[in-house]
Amino acid sequence: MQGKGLPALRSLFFLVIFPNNDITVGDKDFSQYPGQADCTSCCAWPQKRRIEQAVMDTPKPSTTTVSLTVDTDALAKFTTLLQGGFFLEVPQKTRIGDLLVSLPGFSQEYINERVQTIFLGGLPADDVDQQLFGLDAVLAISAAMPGLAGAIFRKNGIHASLRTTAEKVPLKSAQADVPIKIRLKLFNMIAVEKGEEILANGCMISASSLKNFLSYRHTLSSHIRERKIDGQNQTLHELFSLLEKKNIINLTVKGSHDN
Amino acid sequence: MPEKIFRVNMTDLSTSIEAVPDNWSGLGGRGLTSTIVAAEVPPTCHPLGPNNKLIFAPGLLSGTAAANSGRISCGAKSPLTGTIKEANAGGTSAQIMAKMGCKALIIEGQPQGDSWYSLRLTPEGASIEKEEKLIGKGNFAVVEAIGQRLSESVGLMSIGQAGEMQMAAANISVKDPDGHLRSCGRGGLGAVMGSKKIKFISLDAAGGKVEIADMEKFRAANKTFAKALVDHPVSQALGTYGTNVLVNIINEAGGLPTRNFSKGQFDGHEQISGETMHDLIVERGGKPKHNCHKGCVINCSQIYNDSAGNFKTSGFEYESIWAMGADCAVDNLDKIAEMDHILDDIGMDSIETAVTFGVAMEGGMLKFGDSDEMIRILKDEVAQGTPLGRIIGSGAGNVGKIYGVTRVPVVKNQAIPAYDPRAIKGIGITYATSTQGADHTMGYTIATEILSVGGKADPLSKEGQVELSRNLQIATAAIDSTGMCLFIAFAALDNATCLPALIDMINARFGINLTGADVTNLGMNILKTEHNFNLAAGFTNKDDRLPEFFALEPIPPHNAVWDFSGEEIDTFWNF
Ligand code: SF4
Repeated sequence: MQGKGLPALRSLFFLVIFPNNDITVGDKDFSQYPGQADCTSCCAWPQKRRIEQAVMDTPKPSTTTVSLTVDTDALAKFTTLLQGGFFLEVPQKTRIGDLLVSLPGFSQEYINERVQTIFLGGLPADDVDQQLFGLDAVLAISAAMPGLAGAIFRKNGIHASLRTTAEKVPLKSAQADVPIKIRLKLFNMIAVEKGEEILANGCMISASSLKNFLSYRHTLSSHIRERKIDGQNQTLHELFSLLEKKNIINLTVKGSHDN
Repeated sequence: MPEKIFRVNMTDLSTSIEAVPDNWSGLGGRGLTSTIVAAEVPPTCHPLGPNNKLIFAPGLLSGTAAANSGRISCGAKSPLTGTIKEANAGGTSAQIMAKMGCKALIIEGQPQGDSWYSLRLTPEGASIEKEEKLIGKGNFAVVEAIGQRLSESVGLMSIGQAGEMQMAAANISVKDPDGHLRSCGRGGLGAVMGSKKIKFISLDAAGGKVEIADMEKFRAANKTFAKALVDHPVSQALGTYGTNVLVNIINEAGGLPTRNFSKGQFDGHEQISGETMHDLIVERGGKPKHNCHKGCVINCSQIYNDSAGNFKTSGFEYESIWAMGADCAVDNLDKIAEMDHILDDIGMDSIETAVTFGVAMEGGMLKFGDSDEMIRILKDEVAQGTPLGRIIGSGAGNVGKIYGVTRVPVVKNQAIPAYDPRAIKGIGITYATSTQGADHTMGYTIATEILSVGGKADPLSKEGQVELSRNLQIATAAIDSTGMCLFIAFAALDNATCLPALIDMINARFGINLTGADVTNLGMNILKTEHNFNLAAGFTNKDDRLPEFFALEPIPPHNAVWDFSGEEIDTFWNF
């Protein structure tokens, strides 16, 4: 199964707006969210659940759209940008698995088999049924990792008992109708395997992420054939000055053969 | 070819060949080096004096076609920690040594006078030759010169300037199939080789082969074993990104020690991540996938080129990149690669040296992030043996004392590697209790239940965590004795055929009938042998402790502290 069942929802994910880039590590104690127990028992994932509501269905007029057309054979290199994460908003109580399966190219099978390491707010998460709630959170996903540390952090890993138990912090309460702001980081094989599709669909990223990425990987600029800002062709210099000024942009990266 | 022990006495410059004592015959790698050190080295001797011995041993399966079996173990009393020590590396030496029928090389004594020597190992035994030309030279010059003098195909183990100067952070370099270097990195064993006045050891198997008692059974087991390795997703990640794939993960967990262990996350982690490294390697015509010896099917090594496309370094590991990167606040992979190359050439442990820089930065010797000054110090001070260079070469613990720094991340005077024990407590137990000072490879992620080392305590209790760490260390000691690369462990976790196939290979090689329980007993014996050596050398349970700052200073972002008591840690040795 290729997880193609929610096209409308997917487009919502990539059009939502994250109002500023003041991203913090999210609430730590997700188990205490009211209603979690009954919800996990009645709607067991991987039965794909509709996420009831995406918060905004169109970008705010102020969101700048950056479209890059790059040499097709260089597309894979741009997926490394996603190690810094992209932003999306989901309704309270969305399960990790539901969020992931709604992403372009993700299927339940892929999540079960390939996504072997998950961090939520910097803490390892074993259960894709775990619900997201609060004001904001950082979610990071990766393939299986080496070393004792890799085994300790692995989803349901047999050495998980060697983890540090993090101190519980007070919850940042959020009203049920307020969306959660998620920064989703894609690491290693996950970014390679799914990143191109996500970039082609468009995603909200912090402007400074793109600026830093193009700075420390400066040779990548030579692979950019076309830069459009809000539909207008721009120079690399103009792109960089825009990235200096903006917090969040809606970025699309496509191969030159895709046009 | 029956296996033999090659013995070299550097006091009277004599060599001999001995039969393998019965109680050593079932041992290889770390099991053998530690057994010989414990049997022949007085525990209280000075590590750089005539009574210490330097032992090299291939693994039980080295020299055969067994996948990933080419690690060479090197053991002695460590000048850095004062404990027993084993460090192992890839390269071609283990396979050549096994093929010439050498079960172990024991180097003892110490020459009088200032002359330097080299050793030449062939199936006929060891010979000693005077060496003048290559003294004062770095490892890369030695590799090139010996390739011309003897042959490109000979194996080579050598020391750089750091080993000649007997610096406590000096390592022993082992030539790989491409003429690049791997390292027996930790514990200052290069200084022990320097104290014996041996610049290099060349090895030539002269067409020798390892005998296999039951070839059919061996081949079948190796097929199963290799398939388990190749199919495993961690092997795929290692083959794509190398171990440096861990930067993003450990950073995300808040366990990436940063700025001398003052934080658990590094702002510049994306610049030094495995993902970024992979892209740079591909873009510059390097190799993201490379093996450190023939027969490796995982290929976690890589060839990293500079921006002009010229070779810069290989075997560019997570722990080295973390140490020179996050711990010193350097976010430039090219600078880190430059340092890695210099350290390979001078012959120094990249973990110990870089953690030393972190402590020196805290002490004010140089600024955090000043990679140019780090490079200058390595080239102009350490390689030249200036007083400052010798201070840096003496390790993190010593620099902490000299600069009055209290945040000095060492256990038994060896630098703690790339996983903060406040954020990943299970690894902290291994750092504290390891017989060899802080070392992340001492308690690897082995499928303990397959080796019948199952735990009894609640795994989430502290007692259970200590028990699991103990079992991992027992299993790791056993695997280290086979000469296998530790990265076989991931497949062994998930594929029930993997470890049994490894035991089948050992049985087929020697015509014996080992069981998982035998292998476990071997691991226990190794640990106990090493522990007893340390006790006799004057170590006590009070040395099995992490530095105080881990309990006093919460580490952001999770603000965890190390909270194991001494009594809890001491239960480790209840077996
Ligand atoms: S996996 Fe890596 S360390 Fe192990 S044998 Fe292969 S290249 Fe060497």
